Amino acid sequence: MASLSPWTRYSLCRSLRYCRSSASSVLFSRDLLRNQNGIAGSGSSRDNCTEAPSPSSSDGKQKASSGKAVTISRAMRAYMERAKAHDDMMKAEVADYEIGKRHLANIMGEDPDSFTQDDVNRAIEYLLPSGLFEKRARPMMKDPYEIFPKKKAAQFGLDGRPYHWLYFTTSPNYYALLYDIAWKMEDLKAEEDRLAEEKDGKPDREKESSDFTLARSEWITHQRLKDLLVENVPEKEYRHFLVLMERLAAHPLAYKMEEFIATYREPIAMQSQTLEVPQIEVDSDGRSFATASGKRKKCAATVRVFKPGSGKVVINGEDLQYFSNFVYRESLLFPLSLTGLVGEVDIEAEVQAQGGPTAQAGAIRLAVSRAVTAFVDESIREDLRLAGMLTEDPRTKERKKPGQEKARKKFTWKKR
Amino acid sequence: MRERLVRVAGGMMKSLSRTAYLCVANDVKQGSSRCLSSVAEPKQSNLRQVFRTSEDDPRAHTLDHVGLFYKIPETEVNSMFKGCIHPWHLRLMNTFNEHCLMVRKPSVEVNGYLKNMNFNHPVPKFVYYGRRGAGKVCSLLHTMHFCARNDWIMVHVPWAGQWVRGWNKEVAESTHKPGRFDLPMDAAEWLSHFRIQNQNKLKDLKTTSEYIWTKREKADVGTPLDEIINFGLNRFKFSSDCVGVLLKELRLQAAEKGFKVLVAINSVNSFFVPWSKENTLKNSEKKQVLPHEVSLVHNFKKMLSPTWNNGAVVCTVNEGSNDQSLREDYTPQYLLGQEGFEWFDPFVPILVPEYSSTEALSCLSYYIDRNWIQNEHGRTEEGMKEIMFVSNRNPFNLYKVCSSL
Amino acid sequence: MAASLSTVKGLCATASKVLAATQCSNLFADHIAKISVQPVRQSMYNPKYVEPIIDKATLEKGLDPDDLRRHRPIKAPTTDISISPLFYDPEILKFTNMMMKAGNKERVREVMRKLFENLKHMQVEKYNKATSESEKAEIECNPVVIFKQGVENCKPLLLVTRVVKGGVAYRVPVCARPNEQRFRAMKWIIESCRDKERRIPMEQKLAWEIMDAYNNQGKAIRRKQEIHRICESNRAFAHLR
Repeated sequence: MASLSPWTRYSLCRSLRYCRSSASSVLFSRDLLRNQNGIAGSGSSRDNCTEAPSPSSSDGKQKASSGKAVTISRAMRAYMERAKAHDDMMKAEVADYEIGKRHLANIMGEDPDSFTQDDVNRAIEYLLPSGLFEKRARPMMKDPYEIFPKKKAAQFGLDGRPYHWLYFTTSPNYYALLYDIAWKMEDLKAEEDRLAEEKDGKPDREKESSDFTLARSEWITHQRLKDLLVENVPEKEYRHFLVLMERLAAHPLAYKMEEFIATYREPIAMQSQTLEVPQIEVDSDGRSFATASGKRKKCAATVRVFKPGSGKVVINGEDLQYFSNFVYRESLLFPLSLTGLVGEVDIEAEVQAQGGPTAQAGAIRLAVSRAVTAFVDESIREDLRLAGMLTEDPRTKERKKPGQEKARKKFTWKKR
Repeated sequence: MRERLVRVAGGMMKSLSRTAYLCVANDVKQGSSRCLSSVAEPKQSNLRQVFRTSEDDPRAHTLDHVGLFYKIPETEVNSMFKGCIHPWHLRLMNTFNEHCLMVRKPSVEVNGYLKNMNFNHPVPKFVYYGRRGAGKVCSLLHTMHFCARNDWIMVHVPWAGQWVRGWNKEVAESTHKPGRFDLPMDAAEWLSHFRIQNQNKLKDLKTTSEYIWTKREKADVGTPLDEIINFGLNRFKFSSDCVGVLLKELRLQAAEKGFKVLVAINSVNSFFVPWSKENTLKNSEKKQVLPHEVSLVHNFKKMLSPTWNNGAVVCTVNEGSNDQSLREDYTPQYLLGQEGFEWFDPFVPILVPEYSSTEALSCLSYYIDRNWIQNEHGRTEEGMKEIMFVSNRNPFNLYKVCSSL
Repeated sequence: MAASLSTVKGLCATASKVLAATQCSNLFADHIAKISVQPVRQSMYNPKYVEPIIDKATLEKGLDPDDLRRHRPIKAPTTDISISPLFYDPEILKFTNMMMKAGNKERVREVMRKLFENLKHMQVEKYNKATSESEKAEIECNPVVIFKQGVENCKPLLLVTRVVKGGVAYRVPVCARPNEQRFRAMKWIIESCRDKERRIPMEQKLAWEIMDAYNNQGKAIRRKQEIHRICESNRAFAHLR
């Protein structure tokens, strides 16, 4: 039982549910329940759905197949009633959803059988257009299992005794995890002491061979942890978890726990591999150029960079005179100076004249850096990225607050 | 003695860093075909030749000298160019311990015209125009130096804009004609400037008619012009009239006596375009005085009319002398306005462009030679390119960028 | 043999010390603090963004493949930062920002430009007029070097803080941190120039003051000495720190 895959477990639950009304209803063995309440790995959305033993007779006592009477606690009974209600509700919702989907398909004049969720979303957006800012507040139609929160399976047996030794902490999975980390830490310490005695403090060869590093991954997000544990983990507890994990990972022997640590980390891609390089095109005169655009504050710029050039700069039909202040010219120089292309490329920029010169220069700088990547090799492209040239500057003016004079400044006010 | 002049093709000028000098010298030594010199044995120790020319005489400057610096002797600077050069430029020259000017194409062009001109026709007019800081005044200086070496009489206005700005100066009703206004201080200042510039050239000049200042004072026929100037400097009240007399006599006698007159006016457009209302020139009744009502301006405008010959008019038009609202373009047609353009017509507009890359490199090498660029990176080829990029090769901006390096 | 034994023991001792140190450092490691402390003012950047590299030499050297910056997005440098050593120097930028009033940076940049021009005029004129080579070698022409040396000369080693103990306020000399030293030095230079004659332009006053500081004279230097004197006279309270 223990090695059931989520989906088999799911189908089993389903089949059980459907046979619950039959006379030959089965009492759940403890094993099954335990299996269900174990920490669900990367389970699907449905694998932790409510599952409960089938309802028993109203007096709370039933004869099992073995003939021995089993006492069902009040808590268990309440739980089972709740579970049944939830199940019924979900069933009705799913049925509704299916019918609704077919109706929608008919309204839209499409085939109801091949109507997918994407089609549903599109139809809803078309039929019920909404200008609400918050996307989650807009009308939607989704599978009920996505909308209604998942629920844990029963955490205690028929006799009312909880399975988990940390049950009364109210979040057993989370605290079990903390215990885990703490014990691993202790293990590492013991290991370290042992090694120190064995090797007389000689440097550890093993570590050098392993390529354990935290650089290529990051800790799982708060939401991910919640999903993993099927528990509500408050922000503070999440940070506590991070502190413990950091401590474990910072241990000199942490590479021995690499597998454990890796389960709570998500890999991140090398940033240089995520860069998009514009295509080199050829204009009617046979000159090769690359086009790119950039933004800063509310200003957008489109730039064409011509490779064999003489260092000519044209901004909105003017030359560099467009920026009277040298700071802006210097900021345009940055990507060119870094790539060593000063005086070797021609730049043609179109920039919206709205906003100040800082925004315009910033937009052009970003666009030029992006366009220049087409003409340089991999390492220089990476240099450009490391110098922050390929990042869009997200800083903008801070909004003014009501009850205040400006974004941060307060009205002059004296109590007396 | 004329030293050999080395001209290097534009491609060669690309690398002018200190180390690159040596390469240039080596090339020259091997008698490279890129070297235009005809002198047999090049002097290799003098590496500064690339941006300098030893040809100090502006009369001998040709297009081959374009982009090279030549030295002006200090005596000439003191006699001619005091008050003509921008203060920052003068300060730079003092710091460099020598007075150098770059030979540029527009002024060489104008000097060439002046050399071959038929002076029996009415005065030719040339107008330098270009962006702010492009070197209009320096071109004018070069032309003036050329004319001074030819013993022309200089009628030079360092900055015409001064005469139409208020700045709380004294404005008097004209003694000569009611409805006009005199600027006694400005006129006197100009007279002394004129005297310094033409110290030895006014000896033989005498008035040809009688001028009556007041009932008691008058200048007879045959009064030397020096005396007129002295009178103007002693009696400020009549200084503007003295300027008028002086200019009139020069105009009349230029053809007869056979001396040539150069009229050089900086930012001539302020003669025609009224200055803004805030600090404009005001008369005693607090009413705005328009440029054509100023007697000085009136007198000088006569010098621009084609009624005389054996002289030349070289002017600059300047955006900065116009009102804030009238600075959209730098062409003479726009800056002079309708009236000024008609007054000036016909004239030869001469564009003063920004530095070419050769000129800019030459300028930067000169700065490096004079220890003006201290930044190590600024002395490399890469750094020079960056300076040229940021300054956009505008001469004044180039100086501004280099001033903090 | 005995000797080798004793060295082994010594090694053990050092090893245990190292262990203790590493464990302690684990407890108080910086990155832990980073997670648990939230910034007071929020940045527009996602916390994953890291600072850019504004240095050609570092970029040319290349980064370790496991360097964090290879895997993280990079912040965009602000407008007045340039990679060219011609136009950007952190210390000069700091000074510029400290002199700025009401966000009028363009004006302060102009003052700084003229300041360097003045410094250069003072020195280059001397240099070009000097006749002998030895004379020329003595003259420092680089304005940035003069500026930095001037600021360096104004940096105080000690500062006084107020400590109240038993109802009595003591002035206690403390070591100045590098940032504070720089801040004090720059502040004193700027303030001493603002106090001077108002008709003289700021760039001229600054040029004189920095030239003086370069030669270990001037108001700012005197102010530093003043502070040092106070520290000296209050050295008895140094233990209250």
